Amino acid sequence: MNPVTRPVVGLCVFILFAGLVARLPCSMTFAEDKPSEKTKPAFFEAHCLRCHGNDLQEGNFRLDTASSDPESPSFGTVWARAYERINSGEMPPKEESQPNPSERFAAMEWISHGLQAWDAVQNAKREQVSFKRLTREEYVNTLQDLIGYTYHPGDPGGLPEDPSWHGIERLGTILSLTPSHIERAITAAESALQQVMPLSEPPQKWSYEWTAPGIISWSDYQRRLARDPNTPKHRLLIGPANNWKHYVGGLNQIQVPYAGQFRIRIQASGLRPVGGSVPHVVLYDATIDRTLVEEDIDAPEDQPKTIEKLVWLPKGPHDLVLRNELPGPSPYEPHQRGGAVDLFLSLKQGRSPFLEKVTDDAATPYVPLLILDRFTIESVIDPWPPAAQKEILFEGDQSESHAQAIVSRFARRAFRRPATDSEIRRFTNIVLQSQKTGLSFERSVREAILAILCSHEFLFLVEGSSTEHAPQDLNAVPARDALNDYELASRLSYFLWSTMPDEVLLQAAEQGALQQAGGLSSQVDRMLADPRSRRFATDFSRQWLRLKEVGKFPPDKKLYPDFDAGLQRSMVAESQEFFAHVFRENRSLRELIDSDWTMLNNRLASHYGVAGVADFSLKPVQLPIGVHRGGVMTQASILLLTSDGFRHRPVHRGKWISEVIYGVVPPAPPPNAGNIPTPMPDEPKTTLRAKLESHRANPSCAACHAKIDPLGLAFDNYDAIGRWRTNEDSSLGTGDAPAIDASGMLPDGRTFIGPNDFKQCVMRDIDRIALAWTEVLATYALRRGLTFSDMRAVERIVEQSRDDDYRVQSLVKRLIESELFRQR
Amino acid sequence: MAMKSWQLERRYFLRGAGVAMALPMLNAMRPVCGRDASSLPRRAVFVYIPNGVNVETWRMPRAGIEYELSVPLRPLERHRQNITPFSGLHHPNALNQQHVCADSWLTAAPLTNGSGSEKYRNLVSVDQLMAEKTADSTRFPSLELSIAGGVGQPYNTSTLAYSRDGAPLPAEDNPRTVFDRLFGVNSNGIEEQRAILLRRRSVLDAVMESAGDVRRKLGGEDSAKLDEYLNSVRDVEKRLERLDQWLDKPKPAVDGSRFQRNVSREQAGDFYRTFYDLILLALRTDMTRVVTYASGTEGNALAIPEINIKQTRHELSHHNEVADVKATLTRSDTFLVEQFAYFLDQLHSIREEESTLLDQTMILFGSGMSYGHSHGNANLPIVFAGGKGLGIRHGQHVDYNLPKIGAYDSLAYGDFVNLCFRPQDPNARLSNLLLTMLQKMEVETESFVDSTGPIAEIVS
Repeated sequence: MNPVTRPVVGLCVFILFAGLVARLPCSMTFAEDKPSEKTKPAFFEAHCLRCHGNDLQEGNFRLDTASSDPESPSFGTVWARAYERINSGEMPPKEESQPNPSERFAAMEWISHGLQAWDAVQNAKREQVSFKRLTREEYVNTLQDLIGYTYHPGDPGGLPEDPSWHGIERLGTILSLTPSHIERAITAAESALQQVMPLSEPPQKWSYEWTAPGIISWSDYQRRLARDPNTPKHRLLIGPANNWKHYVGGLNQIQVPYAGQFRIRIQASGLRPVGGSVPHVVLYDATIDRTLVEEDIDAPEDQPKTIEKLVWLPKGPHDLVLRNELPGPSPYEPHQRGGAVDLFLSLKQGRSPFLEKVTDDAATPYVPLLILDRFTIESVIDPWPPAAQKEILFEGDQSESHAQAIVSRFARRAFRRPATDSEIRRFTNIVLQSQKTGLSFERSVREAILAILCSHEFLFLVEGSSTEHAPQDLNAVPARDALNDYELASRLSYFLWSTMPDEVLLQAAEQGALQQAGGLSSQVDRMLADPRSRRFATDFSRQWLRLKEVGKFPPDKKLYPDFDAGLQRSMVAESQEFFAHVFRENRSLRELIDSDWTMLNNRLASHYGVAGVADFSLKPVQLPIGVHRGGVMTQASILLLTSDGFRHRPVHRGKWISEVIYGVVPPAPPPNAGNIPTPMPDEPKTTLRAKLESHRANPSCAACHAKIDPLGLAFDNYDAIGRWRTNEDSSLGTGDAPAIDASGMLPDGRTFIGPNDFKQCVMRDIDRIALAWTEVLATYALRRGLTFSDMRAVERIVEQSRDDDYRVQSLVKRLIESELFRQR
Repeated sequence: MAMKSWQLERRYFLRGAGVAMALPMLNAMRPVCGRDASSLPRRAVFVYIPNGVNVETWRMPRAGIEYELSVPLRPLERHRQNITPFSGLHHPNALNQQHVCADSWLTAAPLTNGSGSEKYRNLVSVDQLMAEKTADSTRFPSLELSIAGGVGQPYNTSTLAYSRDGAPLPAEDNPRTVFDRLFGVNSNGIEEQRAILLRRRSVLDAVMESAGDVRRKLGGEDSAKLDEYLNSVRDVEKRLERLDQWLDKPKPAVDGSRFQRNVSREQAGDFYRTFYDLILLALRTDMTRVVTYASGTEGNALAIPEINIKQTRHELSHHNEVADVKATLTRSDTFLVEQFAYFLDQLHSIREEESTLLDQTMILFGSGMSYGHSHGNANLPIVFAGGKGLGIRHGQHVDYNLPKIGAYDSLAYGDFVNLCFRPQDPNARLSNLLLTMLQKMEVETESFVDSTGPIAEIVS
């Protein structure tokens, strides 16, 4: 059949990792569900083998000898080819008898299920020694903990973003390393060492100050002040959503003299209009594309408040923008949102035409007004010399043996295990060689430290051991399966902290305590109580929920004028903080499906229609009846990332739920699958659902879509930016916006009437969901795909956790205590 | 090299950034003795546009010399003698692979769509093979530019360039950073710089020895990741060595003091032209001879507010066959071609001995996708330009569909769209064009991945 003329519903949009894979929700677990000869559909025998079998091998391709076991290395190459030809409609050829759609779908489902498993097995491969590169976030955290150096890899010249696999960013097989990584690692390490091991005089204290000077320019003001000490002090009035830069004196080209930590202080008053929101100050650095400060300012005109923030800035000129970002829906006239920056004395004094636009006669603002007095940046100079310098050089003379001691001590922390004699010799040698070129002892030590920071032992997590056997014997030596103490310590700390083991953990590894009963669990308890465990909550949730995809389709400005960057940041933060809260309080996985609370700030609260949240910082809020939130599936971040900026996308929402919640990747749509037409201006408005259903009348599409679409249609009550609605409007078409029907039937026959009801259906699948979630957790912890036997171990963990209702921390602990975690 | 102080022979107006800058003529950098065209530098530039095009308005009914440019391609009319539009080209390995487009545009690699790992093993890209050839002559072997920095994700790459290990080479997306890297003057003295380079090299020697030890112990065992590390370190060493060699040669004096650091992406035209200007500068000053530029990626391409296009190309490409949206996509296509025509203008305006920069530079412009709406990646929109001084012949529209179908008019629309999924001519391979370019860059090879041979129609 010609794929173009076939009316197919596809809505296939660029999804990264649109998978080949298909473990559709079908009440079977991964392990029982392993594709095999026995489960292979009769399709292949009936439609393929005559030309691709024993007698004939058309196109030099045969299926009769192809392994049906996804753990066989050849499974992927052979079946991927078959999948592609069947999916594209190319096979069986037009002149042959054609399978019916459900046969075809069953065959594709079987293959794609096998391919997902095969792919995971490929990613689980353990070489004699495996090298798993640190992600850039881990690299940054590790540098911070190792030598106390902070920086932002996203700044220009930083490190490239890492690729991910089903959302997980830390798979050893996926993370590649290029010359550019090495170059940037050297540069980063050099500037880090210059800062933490300066071997020089303390840097000059540096500061930059802007104060509202009054008239025209700073120098002018100085002159006036010299003449008259009582020259009135002016303030800068900043209306909503205004950029303030180089107004007087300038926030342009601020020359930061060296890279490092700086303290930013903003002194301002913030006035809110009656019933309106608080001014929201955003300080944005255009040079490095980073928001430095973001906070609400609620302070009376005569009692300004000072906000303070520590930031890391690279050396060089910086262009800053200070903005009063208008939160929430905008009831204000355009002139009240733009152009309103002015110097003035007081709202009560000298009613200029400008002031009359933004306040009434009683000086009550019409719009949120920010009144800025002072803005400063100053260098933060830690005790001198920096702690790292003392720590690295410690007490000793300038002898070779001390150099050796320095190297051995530092390498132990950097390599997360004791350095070998030959390593110590090699890096000590750098000290000696550098001294010969005329560098001082300390400076030569710095060279050795630099080398350590660029070595593979530092940049990679290394697991396994090389053998000293002659090369020809190597194949006979099986890869070591159990992690040693140090590998275990690293796995643990990168899992829970996204950084290197601390001294306590390293010592526990040294003493073999991690292998003893209670030794591991006492470390885990300590680590979970440590603030660094917050990194697990935010990193894991970002990856599991695919939050990086938020913002891929920016909402259309005309359709969604209230949407802005601050709201988007709040959405992502809600999902991360929500998970963090569940994790911290060791609540049940069920809360991720549905909950009677969520994390809100004032922006999100007004987005969701929840009253009484005043503050920009996120806090747990009990959800009132009827706001239709709770759990992750109805968080705005998720509803946004499954929309296309114009409208919601039910098929994508279904796909997201299938993949992220159930761990099942639906088969990819056939090439040129077709479209859902956009409404015509002269036709009555219809819902997307109605259109999808008319397209699904075609049996060849229905087979697949029947399993995906209901999962997404359940959320039709939420628009493209996640707002609740009861009618689905569209910009084109005639008549009233049709009412939404979010009911549906799951593939297993259960029915639901809307999103809340759907969540209860999902809740009844909690066992399966716990399994899928724990699979992601294990992939994240082990930094590799899982095999079928790994999945049996995951099943056991899930089973043990059923009785205490799948508490998140408990699942994490059980994974750590499992055999799986101790194995490579 | 003749060491005379740079004559500011010409004010060069860097339009995209709104900056005037003084540039030496390239000639000033050459030895005084004359050269013929064959000894002039050979260069190649690759410009990617994402998400395919509106194939309906892009297509041209006639092939050969008498062809007429379609509406979106019409801005190239003045370069008719410097371009060859192609129809019907494809990468066999990318067919039906949905999101495999930019990733294998210059590598022709078999990348199975859907997941990463072992299956995502890319091959070396043509530009890097070329760079190996030109590396000894220039300060930078190649330049990787993109709208999005870094490497992106598998199946949504930010870079077009892949190393010998198939590892993506991170691209630069900040014009200022690129400018500084090319023309920035190091405040340290030459001796100080040399000492730093030396120290870096000794550091790399040490870490390479250490990794080499481990590698030896592993013997024949596969260790892709350690090899990646070793090759990367070796590569950086080579770069440092090259930097050392270039240390005594002054960089061309390009005054960047007024170079705009943050060209707004809201002004799409300015943004594209700034990158084209940077490429021009880099080629003109012979800082490099090989450039890849992902002017957009499948997931990251600019809206064009100045002509009232609010949607990104990704959004437009999923047009649902809605006439309005398709018309806007055509406008977006036209706009990108206009920017490209500007680049050709600039290359053409610069003389190099008896030739022009355009004649000494081959440019591949196009996409790894054709019908973006449902991810068709056959019948790719490709325009090949420049390089006449390298033995390239232009002036016709090479169409591999027409000999098979007769005329586009004879096809129902659905069957026409189907050309974007099923190649009519299985030998119409993009690799053949890449191979032709490789050979013109004097890379000695008879094949590139799945090529069947160079394209005779464009060889003079």
